[in-house]
Amino acid sequence: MNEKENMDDELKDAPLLKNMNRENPFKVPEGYFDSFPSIVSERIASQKSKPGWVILFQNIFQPKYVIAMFVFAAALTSGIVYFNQSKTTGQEIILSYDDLSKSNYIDQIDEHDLIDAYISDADADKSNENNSEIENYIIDNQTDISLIENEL
Amino acid sequence: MSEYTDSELLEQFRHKDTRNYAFNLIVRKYQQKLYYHIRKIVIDHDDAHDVSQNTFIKAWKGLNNFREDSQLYTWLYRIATNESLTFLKQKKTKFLIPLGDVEYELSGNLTSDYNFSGDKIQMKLQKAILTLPEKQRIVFNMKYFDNIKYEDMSRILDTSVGALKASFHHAVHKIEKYLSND
Repeated sequence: MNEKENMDDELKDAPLLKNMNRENPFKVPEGYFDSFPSIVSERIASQKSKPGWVILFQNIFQPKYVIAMFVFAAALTSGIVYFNQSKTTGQEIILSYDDLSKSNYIDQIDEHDLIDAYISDADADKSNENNSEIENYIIDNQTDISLIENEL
Repeated sequence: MSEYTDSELLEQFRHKDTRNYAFNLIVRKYQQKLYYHIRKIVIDHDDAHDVSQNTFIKAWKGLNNFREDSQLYTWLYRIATNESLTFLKQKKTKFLIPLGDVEYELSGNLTSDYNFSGDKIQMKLQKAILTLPEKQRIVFNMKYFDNIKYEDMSRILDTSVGALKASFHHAVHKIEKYLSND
């Protein structure tokens, strides 16, 4: 049985396929196969002229990998900057009254806020002073602590 | 085409002075067969052009190690088939296209391809072929259009003759059914 007979036998249950035009329906641009061998030769020549490390470098640093590295580096840098800023904004800067008086921002602070702050500090100091006087009296006069506790 | 047999071409290729000349002859001898084999798989001309180049570049690199335990054209066909399948796989992963949609996209390429000169029924046949699984599509094309012997196909696709015959038979049945539908 020759090839044609073999094929006819295989397609005996498929009349549409059997009778179909099996001509190649795909076409190519004119002169394509005349120029194709030289295109292949040029590619081979260009690969041969590059040292192995260049080809390796080009394979590693393809545009898609470079872009991906850049995006990763940008995201990492942004993250580091963001977290560092969060740390510094949470800190309070404490100035003494002398420093404050010399500061350029003194004019922007409400006077009443300054006065209230001074008074509350003064009261705290006074309270501390009172406590110290009491402690000294107790020690000097060898007062019995339990008598004071019973009074409280 | 070429005056030399494959063995003579391979012998010339092994000599540094005649390597380029011999390879040029090999390309001229097999370019059309391989191109159309690839084209039937990837459909688009530009894609087939790229895959064909890659096929011959690979052949150039591997020809020194070709042991001639198979015929040259079988070896070349094998490279071409693998390169075509790799291309389709890369297409899927590169563009995140689901498995079935590549064939849908190829079918679309077919419709818009100005390098397709077939009539309506041939267009329908090509679309029918695209509904087959990749490997079955290749088996059908190689048998129906190129009439490659099953023994040679077995060496190219690394599949048994029996499996190839069964695959072709099923492909014929599916395509006939597709063609008979409106």
